[in-house]
Amino acid sequence: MSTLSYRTKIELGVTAVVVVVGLFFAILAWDINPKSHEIGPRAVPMFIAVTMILLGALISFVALRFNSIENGNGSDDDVYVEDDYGFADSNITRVFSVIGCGIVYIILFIGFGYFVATLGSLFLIMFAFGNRNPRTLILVPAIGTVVYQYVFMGLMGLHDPAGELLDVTALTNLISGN
Amino acid sequence: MLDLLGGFVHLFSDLEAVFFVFLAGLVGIVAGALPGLTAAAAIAMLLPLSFHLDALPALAFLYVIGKSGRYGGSIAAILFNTPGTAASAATMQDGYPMTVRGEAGKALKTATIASIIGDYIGEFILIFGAVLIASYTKTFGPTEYFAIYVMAFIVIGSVVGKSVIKGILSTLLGGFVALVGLDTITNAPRMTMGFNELDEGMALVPLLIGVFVISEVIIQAEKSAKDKLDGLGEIDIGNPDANHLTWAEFKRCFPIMIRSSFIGSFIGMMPGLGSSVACFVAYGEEKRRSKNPEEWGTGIVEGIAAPESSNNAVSGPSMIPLLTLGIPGSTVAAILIGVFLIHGIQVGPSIFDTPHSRQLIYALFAAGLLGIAVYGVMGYWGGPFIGRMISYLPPRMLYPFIFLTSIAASYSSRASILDVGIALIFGIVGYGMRRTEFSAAAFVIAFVLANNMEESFRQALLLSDDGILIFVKEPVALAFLVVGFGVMIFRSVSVMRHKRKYPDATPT
Repeated sequence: MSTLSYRTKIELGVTAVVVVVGLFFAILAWDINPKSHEIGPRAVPMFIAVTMILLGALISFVALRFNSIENGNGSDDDVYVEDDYGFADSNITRVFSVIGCGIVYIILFIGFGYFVATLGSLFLIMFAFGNRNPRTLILVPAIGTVVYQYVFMGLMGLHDPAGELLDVTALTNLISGN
Repeated sequence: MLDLLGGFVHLFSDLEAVFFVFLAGLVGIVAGALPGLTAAAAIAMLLPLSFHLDALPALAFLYVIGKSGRYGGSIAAILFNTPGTAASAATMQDGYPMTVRGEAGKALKTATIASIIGDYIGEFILIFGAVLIASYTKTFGPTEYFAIYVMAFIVIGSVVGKSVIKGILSTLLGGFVALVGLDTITNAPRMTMGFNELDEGMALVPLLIGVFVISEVIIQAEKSAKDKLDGLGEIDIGNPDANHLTWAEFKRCFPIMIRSSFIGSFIGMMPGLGSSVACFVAYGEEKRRSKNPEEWGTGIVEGIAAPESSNNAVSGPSMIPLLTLGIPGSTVAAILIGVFLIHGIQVGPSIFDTPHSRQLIYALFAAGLLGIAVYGVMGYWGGPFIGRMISYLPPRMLYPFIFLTSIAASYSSRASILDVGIALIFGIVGYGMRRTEFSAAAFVIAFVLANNMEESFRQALLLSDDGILIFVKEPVALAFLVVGFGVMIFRSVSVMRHKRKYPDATPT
């Protein structure tokens, strides 16, 4: 594996992911009742899943075929890789912090409703983006949450369910005007 | 022409629609000028708002954002040396050097005029071309439609990204996700994994928000610690001579704008080939024709006129496949399909048959023409100001609100918290796709088309006495399939040749 370029390594990883996803899709498609039709509801999903597996394997084949190290174009360090390709400059902490804020939003939403979920996750995402000023971290989410509550629950009239752990809709309805 | 006049009457009799055209002009410019945020991302976030509007204001709002967003990308390209949208990548090459020389105002004015000319030419080609083509395509049945869908999948997958295989995989992924839910013919649930909420299928809004907005927020979160916008500090718009586009310069650029507009319009008609391709094709072609090609890239107005007129000319013609075949030629068109369906309008050639939908479409054309003028006026006099305002917005404050808006928009599409989870999942998927050169645009377009494709496939087989051979025996269907596979083979061969020539730089 040490003779593989960075791009080829990533492409092999892509193949693995695509093949696993394709297999997962094939299992889901296999569970579909084919009915009595000649071309039933299973046919197209199964075709897509199998084609994904084949094309996933083809990515590896082409990547290995054109692996620049095998073509004698230099060492791994010499290989030119386009900006933003691959995960070499990824900041995994930041990636998971954004997704984590979304997961916190869902948990708070179920437990405490829209208002608390918005307040909590806005605070967290601002922190994740590097805001450290305590005044900013308190005031901006508070004002922002009131605006979101008014726009989405008040003006747009969305369903504002009560939290399963704590119901604050009596208070938040004052903001949204419901 | 009378229909178009009727469209203007319809538009101006609906003041709400006119208001949303003006709002869209501003929203699109700002969204397009924000580095990283595309017009498609802005439309995805604002799509739930359109559910609360009548058909014309909703469609006009999103359609004009698509236009003004393309133009807005040029502001970021010229001032910040960062393309606000992929369509503006070519504009940077001459735009930013002009900013460095203190000619930002001239560069922005050139971009505005070029965008307006390109957009108007593209819009008129749409208006007069769509009806003509639709009169032919409305005779198509499920066999032809299946072939068209297959062609669209293959062509879009082949041309939309750097890799043919990954482009087609992107369409397959979008197609599979779209098939989750009740089967349209047998009404049996498929691939719902026990979630009753998925019986209705995956909603478009959380999927769009995931792949376009949340993935961008993740990327901006990665960048926020190390990057800052630069370039604006060097803007000098105080010198009228350096920031005024002279008549002589305009006369030099005008033929370039016209030629590039037709290049962009032609590319726009091809499903999947969007503004990002058009801008480089036009830039390359005009540089090739130029008597002084060595000056291109050093900061000349011609280098802005070509890509900007071309990328905006894509906007109108990219609607032709949508209105004549029901196939979206771009991400924005794919999103508009959802809006049409929400308001009970079936897109495709029959859209021109009923008086109601015909009137609506011509009013939408009128909104497009008005929207071009609106963003043109706003951009010509307000472009530098908008750019300056954006430079004052720190990403650490902006993107948290974009994230929260996208979460709220995901929830609002069906008032389901599951959709927020779906948006997050597709945020990770979109991030992975961007990092590995898969195409989010192909994914979304396939998602929108897949159910119709499967339905026409099964209907065609039910009508067929020859099984699957019907797609070969019908000449029109066969022609579309040949075109699709022909494009794929041609593109694969050209990618392979390029790979052999530059083995380190070209993907699979």
